[in-house]
Amino acid sequence: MELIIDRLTKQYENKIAVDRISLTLKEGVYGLLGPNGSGKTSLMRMICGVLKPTSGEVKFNGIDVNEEEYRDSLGYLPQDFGYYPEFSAYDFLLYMASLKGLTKHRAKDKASEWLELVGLLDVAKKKIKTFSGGMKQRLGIAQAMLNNPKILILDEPTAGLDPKERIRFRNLISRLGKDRIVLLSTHIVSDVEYIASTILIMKDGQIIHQGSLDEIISVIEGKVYECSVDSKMTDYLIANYPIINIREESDKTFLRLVADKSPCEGAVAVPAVLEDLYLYYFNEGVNRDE
Amino acid sequence: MNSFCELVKFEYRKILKKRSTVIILILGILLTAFSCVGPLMGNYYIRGEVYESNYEGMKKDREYARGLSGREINSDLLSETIEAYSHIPIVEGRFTDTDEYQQYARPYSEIQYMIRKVYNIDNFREMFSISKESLDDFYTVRQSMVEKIINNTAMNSAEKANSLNLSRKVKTPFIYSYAGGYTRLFSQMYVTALIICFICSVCIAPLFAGEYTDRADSLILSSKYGKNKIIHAKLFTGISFTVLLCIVLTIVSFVTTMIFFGWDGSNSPIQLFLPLSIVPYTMGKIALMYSILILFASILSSALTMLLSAKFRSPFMVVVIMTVITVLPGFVNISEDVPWIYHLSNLVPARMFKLENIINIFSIEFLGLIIQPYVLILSFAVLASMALLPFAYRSFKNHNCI
Ligand SMILES: Nc1ncnc2c1ncn2[C@@H]1O[C@H](COP(=O)(O)OP(=O)(O)OP(=O)(O)O)[C@@H](O)[C@H]1O
Ligand SMILES: [Mg+2]
Repeated sequence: MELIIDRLTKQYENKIAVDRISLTLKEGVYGLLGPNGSGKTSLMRMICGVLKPTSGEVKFNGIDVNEEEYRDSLGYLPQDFGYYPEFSAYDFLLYMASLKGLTKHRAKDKASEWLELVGLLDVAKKKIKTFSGGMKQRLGIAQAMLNNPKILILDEPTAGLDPKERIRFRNLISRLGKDRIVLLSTHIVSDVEYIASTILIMKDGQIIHQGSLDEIISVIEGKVYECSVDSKMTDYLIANYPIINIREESDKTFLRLVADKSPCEGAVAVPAVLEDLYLYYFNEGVNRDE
Repeated sequence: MNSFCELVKFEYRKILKKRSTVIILILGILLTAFSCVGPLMGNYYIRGEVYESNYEGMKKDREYARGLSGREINSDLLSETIEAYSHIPIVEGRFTDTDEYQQYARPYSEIQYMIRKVYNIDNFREMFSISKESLDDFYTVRQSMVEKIINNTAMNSAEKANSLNLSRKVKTPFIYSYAGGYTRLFSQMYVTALIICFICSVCIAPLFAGEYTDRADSLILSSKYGKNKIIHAKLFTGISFTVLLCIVLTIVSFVTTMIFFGWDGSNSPIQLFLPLSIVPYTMGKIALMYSILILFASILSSALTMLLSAKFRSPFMVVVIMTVITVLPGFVNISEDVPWIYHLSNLVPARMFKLENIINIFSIEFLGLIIQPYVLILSFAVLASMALLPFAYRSFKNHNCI
């Protein structure tokens, strides 16, 4: 089982959203991590065949993305999508199932099964327009899974889920990744930290890093420091080091930053986490807890 | 096949689940039925006083016409008509307001109309100077009038020959009959067709564009049948919806009209309604032909709606454009002087709805064949619909989700 993405490029009028990305995905969970506008959605849309690439190809076991057979192996949860507000959750799933070519009997089985798995069984007959954002998101996940896809593309699947659902969902995904290719995008680091076997970091349309959590973090392992310093030192550090976190304390400022060696007196090296790496790369968005 | 039916079923459900659709369908049926009997509303006034209600008037005219039904239109009947009209005194205002008209002439008003058409006169008083011989030769006069009109058109000689030939097939003499139901239907069907078109454009416009605005396009297009079967199902839904609606509203128009105006006249020649028409058909046959043409013209209009629906992002835009396309050509008058422009203009769906564009004196030479306007219009509607659908198909298939 192999999903091959070959020099995939998408250029909007004056903006390159995806820039010659080549990837080979095998069974497992892939976490696509990148800030807003980095091209995650564009990449996923092309993998799902709903956006025509400027150039490049996508193939699954040699089958082109434009073929029915490819779509038959695909499950897709778009980032931003709509439902038919007048349909009930159950009818909506039956509709999606018939689009996916399930027989009527199987459609009913699968619809009930997935409504149960995403915890919507008791509201199955309610119109979708009465659903909350998180309920819709869960319905979206259910529809993606109806045809038991070999390729599962989830664009920000945890957006709008409460912490309990989020955890439940993470567990679900890691189970699903056993015998299929799961690609999920997020900008919430903790979503992928535990479940993704491979993390892909995307910036400006390119995959700038890929590997397992440990491999990826090793880039900054031993280079993350924390210190509490006065305001003069704070200015100096901000000017010279990638800052991950700043917190004003009563008379001092607490900093978490990346440095090759100890940046100042009293700085302590701490274990790196994925979030450090993320902020290190995308450090325009420094966190400032007040 | 099974999954296809299943998909079609869901498309219908999407259409019918909208409350607006149900409302517009009910309103459409009521409006159609109501407009059929529209001319029966209100009263006829003579010198500011109610003389009779229009409904009574229709019943009276029908009574009179039925009294003459079955009679051959010949010099006896024509002379009787002229005699009846000679009672009308010269008055200011409408001659129909005189007691003499009501008493003597009114039963003959349709025959009087026919005489004026055939002898090419504007005022009924000119009838009095038609000679006895000329009245005896009614059908010869009529035929030469028809031929004169044909020869005065800008048709080429082959086309003229064909129209002349056809006109000579009209069976004479005509047997007079009441046919108020059919004549009412012929005027009504244009309105019915506009209603059909409007409802179709409103209900079909969301077929593709609605998926874009509902943002369900990415779900559909990434599913197994999203780029083939579902598009076929949608196109089938659009066409079958149009066909069903067309049948329903045509039946509503037909039945309502016939119930109120009377069922008689289906075997009478169309010439009782259009005295100079060259087509040798009965009212019933023309009504059938007219309905079929409206059906295919509506299908063409729906095919266009579906193409726009697949192209545009919003169903509302589609409805606006289709309304303009449907209503506007009705107001434009195209000269018959350059036949091909005239014939071409009659291929716009809205103009296909007009009986006078379907059945007229023209023959058309096209690719070496000589055909009647209704053949051209029907063929065009079928071919153009079939040509538009693949574009709609491709448009949706290649749609980029954003
Ligand atoms: N239809 C479009 N026309 C022009 N530019 C577009 C279009 N869609 C996306 N872009 C641009 O392409 C870039 C990538 O967008 P994309 O939606 O793929 O990012 P993303 O990583 O999914 O962001 P987010 O985290 O906000 O979902 C952005 O700069 C965006 O402005
Ligand atoms: Mg996105």
